Amino acid sequence: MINQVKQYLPVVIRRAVQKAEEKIESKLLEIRLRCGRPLELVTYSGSSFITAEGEILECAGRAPDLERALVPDRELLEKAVLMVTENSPYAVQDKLRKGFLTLPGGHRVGFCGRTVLEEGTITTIKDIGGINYRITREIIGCAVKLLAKVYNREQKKYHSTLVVSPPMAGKTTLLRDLIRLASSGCKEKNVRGYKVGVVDERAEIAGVYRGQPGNELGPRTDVMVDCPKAEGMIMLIRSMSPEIVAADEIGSREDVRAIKKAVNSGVTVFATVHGSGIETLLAHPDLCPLVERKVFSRYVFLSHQEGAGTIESIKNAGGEEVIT
Amino acid sequence: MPLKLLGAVLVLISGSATGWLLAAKYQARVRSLRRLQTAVNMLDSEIRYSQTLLSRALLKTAAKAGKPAGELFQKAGKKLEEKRERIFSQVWTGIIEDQAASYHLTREDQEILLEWGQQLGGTSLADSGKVNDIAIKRLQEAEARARSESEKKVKLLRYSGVLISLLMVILFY
Repeated sequence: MINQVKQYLPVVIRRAVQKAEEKIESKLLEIRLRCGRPLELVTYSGSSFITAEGEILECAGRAPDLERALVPDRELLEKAVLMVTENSPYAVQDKLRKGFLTLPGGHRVGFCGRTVLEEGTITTIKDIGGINYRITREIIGCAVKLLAKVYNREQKKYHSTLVVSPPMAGKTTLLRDLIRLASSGCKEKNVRGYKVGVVDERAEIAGVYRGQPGNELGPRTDVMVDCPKAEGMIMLIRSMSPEIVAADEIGSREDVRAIKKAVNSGVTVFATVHGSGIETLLAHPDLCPLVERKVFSRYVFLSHQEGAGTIESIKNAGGEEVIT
Repeated sequence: MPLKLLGAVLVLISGSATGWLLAAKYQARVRSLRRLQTAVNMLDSEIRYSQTLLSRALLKTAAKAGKPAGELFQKAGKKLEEKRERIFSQVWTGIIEDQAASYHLTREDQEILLEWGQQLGGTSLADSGKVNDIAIKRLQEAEARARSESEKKVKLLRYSGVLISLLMVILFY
């Protein structure tokens, strides 16, 4: 997966990262380029600065030797921007406006810089001073352990499930595998495959690039890419008759309305949201009604406790731990 | 005698042909500049309305545009598709510096294309449109100048070729 990201790094940085990667024990999560400041590698176990030769400069308990660090300059950042936009910033202007774009495989590249406003609305980001390559990891099979708790054997359907976690705790990875599992079915556990509709607003779930999904989502999955979640869910229900719809990072009032509509139509919803417990959802003015009206019958809480993707608890609509 | 006549005819033909060939370069420049405008216009439509990625937009335009734009765009598009780290401005500069002279484009014409290439790859949608509009305008101006130069020189060179070869025939006959 990481090789897909490396293709979009300027040669100097790519070489350094490749060499450094061999020395880093933990898996690489982010590559952060900041103009005039040291290049940072973020892993599950922390962050490091590196030299142009790929030597790791900062380890736990040791002061960084930043004078030797690889420091990207403006030219290098501009080159990186042209590489990730494939020499075509105009073609991804809408995504740049939102501060990120997606690479093949669903890897996300975030940007920081000077925003250009037109009548109070951000039209684009110029003079980009920071780029963050976030590496997506597809872990096939990571949702299998959830199956017994999110599948209702009596009704022969999946529970509407909300995956809740802080950023970088693996909720998209889990959602992706849940989609794959629901779509493919699980022969060993005698669960059939279902028709799944995915609204992939940021192209992170399916990793679609030039119309071709980069990630495995199962044989019965239809993907709506770059589409606002709320509209996408309704469109999918009308056009593709899914038994399950899935969306990543819900949060707006429109999303909530669309989820209610989907559940009321008899469709199961798989979604993710940023948070750390039921109380954080109740404190969110838009998400609170989802909890109160018991729209989701399963909540999967993730944390970084034992690395990304640690399942803290699985609760039902009443907030009780699910035990099978 | 017949040999002398044959020689005279050959001198006349080669002299005239030289004149025609020299004149043809001026006409080719006009044609190249006109086709480049059409190609930049087509590329602009791909960018503005379809928001096609630059490498694909270049290849699509190349398939429809005649020489030289078709060939130049084809090379640039292919080079960009081959390696992701290639930046359009660098690729385009290399191509123009290597190839433009063979299409009878002058240094002044090449400057227009180089400046366009420097600005095109890294702009927003609105800016890309402006960059293309400016390039088209400058190519139109260059074409107008090339046309007026061509009108003056084409006849001159053709007549000169014929007349000089005729003079040689008369002198040596």
